[in-house]
This record gives sequence, structure tokens and C-alpha cells, in this order.
Amino acid sequence: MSSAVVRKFLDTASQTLEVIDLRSQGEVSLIFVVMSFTIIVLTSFTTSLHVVVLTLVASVAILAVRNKRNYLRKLSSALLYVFLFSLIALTPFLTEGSVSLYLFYVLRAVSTTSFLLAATTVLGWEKLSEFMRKSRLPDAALLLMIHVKIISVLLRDTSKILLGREARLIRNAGLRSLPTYATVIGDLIIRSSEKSKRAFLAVEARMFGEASENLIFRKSFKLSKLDILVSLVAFIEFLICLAGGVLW
Amino acid sequence: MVTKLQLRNVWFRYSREEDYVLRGVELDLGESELTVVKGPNGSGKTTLILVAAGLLRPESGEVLLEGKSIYEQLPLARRKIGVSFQDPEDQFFNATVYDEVAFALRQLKISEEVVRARVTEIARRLGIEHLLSKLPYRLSGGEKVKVALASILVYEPEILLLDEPTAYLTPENKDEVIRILKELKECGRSVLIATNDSDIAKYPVDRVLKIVNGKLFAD
Repeated sequence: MSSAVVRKFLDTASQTLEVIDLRSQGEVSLIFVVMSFTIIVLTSFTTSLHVVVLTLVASVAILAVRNKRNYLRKLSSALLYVFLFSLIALTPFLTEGSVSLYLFYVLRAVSTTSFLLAATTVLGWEKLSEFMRKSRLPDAALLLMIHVKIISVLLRDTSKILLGREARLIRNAGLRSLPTYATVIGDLIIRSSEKSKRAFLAVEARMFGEASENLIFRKSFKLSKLDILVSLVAFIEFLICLAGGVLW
Repeated sequence: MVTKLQLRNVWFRYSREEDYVLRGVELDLGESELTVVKGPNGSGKTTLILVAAGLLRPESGEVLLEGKSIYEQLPLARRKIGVSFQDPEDQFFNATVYDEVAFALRQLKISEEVVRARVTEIARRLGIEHLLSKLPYRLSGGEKVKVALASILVYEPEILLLDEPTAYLTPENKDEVIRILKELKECGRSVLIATNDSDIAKYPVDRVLKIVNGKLFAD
């Protein structure tokens, strides 16, 4: 695999993770969380093309409602990689006469990922770790958040390491590149350990978690556009699955 | 002069198998004082900053914030002490410069309007207004230092512990940062700078200390 392609993939993945907000940009209702979870479960196991397409449309609609149109381009490039990887990973399903099923599985993987990404841009990583903080596990919540951020930093670091090796005339092509990638992993493990320690200190130094009681779900029962959107999608998908009897 | 931060006979090492990084360090940081700790690479400057901030616990000795053990008042210490790290990228974990600078204020439950006003104000002072919507990782070295500094100055800590704040900066930017730190000192802030930048000696500071192999000396 060409090093340029690998680096392009790593940069795209790190950018995608970076654009997903750490903190929620507004109040989020429990309805949104529950319905999003329902949609993800239904889409992950459905055999209905309607459900898969509806989920894909819903994820674009969520970003549009939240004025996250600028994220669409970055997320779509990330989805392109998911598509390419699914094409490879799902090849065991590619048998004679089952091409359409294979393509359906690929589309389902892309659709589920797109909804997961869209829902996360609304919730924010902080909100996702809130359950732990509320369960008196603030350290675990902090670690989760750091790990999530460190992933994008490490992806970018990997890209830099590859670039540095290329600059020193190490060719990354074909099977010969495999030992190069193996040594990159060694470098990364050391870097990730050091970076995690420093990131932990940096987050702690800036009072992380002092306002944890502030991060609560909206208490008033007032439906927002997003609540209606995800509820409607979840309801329709549930009906489709029930009508077809093809949920699992 | 009121002593804000004290280190009393502090000994620190990262593990029992390793040598001590700090050896019996004694340090008093007073109110409205700008102190510089100079030392070569690996002399213990970064560890000194982290221990003084209460982020690392010494094996023996005491770290006192306004006369009381810092470990007994950690939440308060976090508000009163601002720490900037040697590699500014270590402290970045937000999607934009704005979020990065606003992070500490949001932890303090300050309303979003006030957060916006304070972030804009500090960005203007440090000349990074045009960077607010950018990704912190995509900035130049000097810009990263300024963003790291802004993310601390924004919540107005009483004590500033800065690890190599002038690294990556051009001479003009260096002058500007030192000017800001002197202004902060005039406003009653205590500033401790750890650096191996020999240029720092040309700036008028209250005290220059030297750290060699974990021991602190008057320069």
C-alpha cells in the first residue's frame, strides 16, 4: 500500500475525530439519546434496505438541523474510507449469487457509522462520558475523554512518523513496507504512553470535572427539532422491521 | 511580601529504580514576583513546575500554597495556579482554539456570554483573535505557545508556572510575552518561568535561580 494513501487515510481519520466536538453545543434530551441508540441497533441488524437508507438520510438531516454543514465534507470523506474498508472486510459474504447481499452489508456499515458520527457531533464526547461521572467514576470519564482525543493525536503522529521515514529515503511500497509499518507501531506505543501521561496532567491542571453537575440532560419535557426527527426515524424503522419481520 | 507558594525540602523521583530528579528543593514564590529558573536539559525544570503545581506528589518534603499543604486544597489550587507545558501541544485536546481557551472557564460554570467576552479579550491581548476558529494542532510553534498561554491567562490564576514559555517564539513575540508576564506581575500575580533560554537574562526579572541535577541554587 502506498505510504501517501496511508497518510491520507490517517489525516482524514484524525480530522474527523477532531471536528467532533468535545462538549455538547446545547442541551440534549434523553429522548434523543434513547432514539439514537434505537436507530443504531435497528440499522445494525436490519435486513431492510429502507431502514438503511432512512438512517443515512437521517444522519445528514441531523447535521443540517444542527448547522454542521461544514462537517459534511469531512464526515463524507471518512465514510468513504469506511466504505472502502467494508468492501474488503466483508468479502467473506461475497459468494456467487450474493453480490446484492454483500453490497447491502457494506451500505449498512456505512449507514450505521454515519449515524453514529452525526449523533456524536450532537452529544459531544463529554456528554458520552457523563454517565461515568454521574456513576461516581470521574477518573474513568476523564480517561475516556483523553483516550478519545489521543486517538486523533496518534493518528496524526503516525502520519508524521511515516513522512519522517519517507524523508529519510525509506520506501514504503508493497510487501517491503511491512517491516516499516511494524516499527511504526513500536514508536507509537511509546509515544502514546508519554502523551497520555502529559495529556492527563494538562486536563487535570485546567480543572476538568469541576462543573460536572452542570452537564445534565434537559429536564423539561419539550421536544426539539432533533428529538422529533430521531423519534420519527426510529418509529418508521421499527415499523418497517416489524412489517417485514426481518429485524434480526 | 506575601509568600504564595513554597517548596520545602522537596525530593522527587519518577520511580524507585530511578535517580532523584529533584533533590531537596527549597523555593519561595512571593506575590508580585517574577522568578526565572534556568537550567540545562534534563536538570529537573519541568518536574519542578509539575511538583509546584501539585500535579506530581514528591516522595518527601512539602508543597505549600499560602501556608497550607497544596494536596489538602487541590480544587482551590487548580483555580489559583495556571500551568503551561513545555510542549504546548500536550495541553491541547479541543477541536478549536476558541474551545481550547474557553475550556477552563467552562469548567468553572461561567455563563457562555462571559466565556465569549473573556476569550475574545485574552485573544486580542495575545494577538490570536484570527486563530480562534482554527484547529490548535494546525498552528505554528509560536502560535501554539500563545494559545497555551491564553488558555491559562483566561481564568486569571494568581500563580503562573510556565515551562519554556518563550520556546519557538521569534524575538518580537518573546518581547511581547515577557511584557505581558510583567504586566501580570504588576497586577499582583506570581510568575515562575522554567527555561533554558539564555536570552531571558536580558529581561529585568526579580530573581534568577539555577537548577542543576535537581538542586536549586541562587544564580
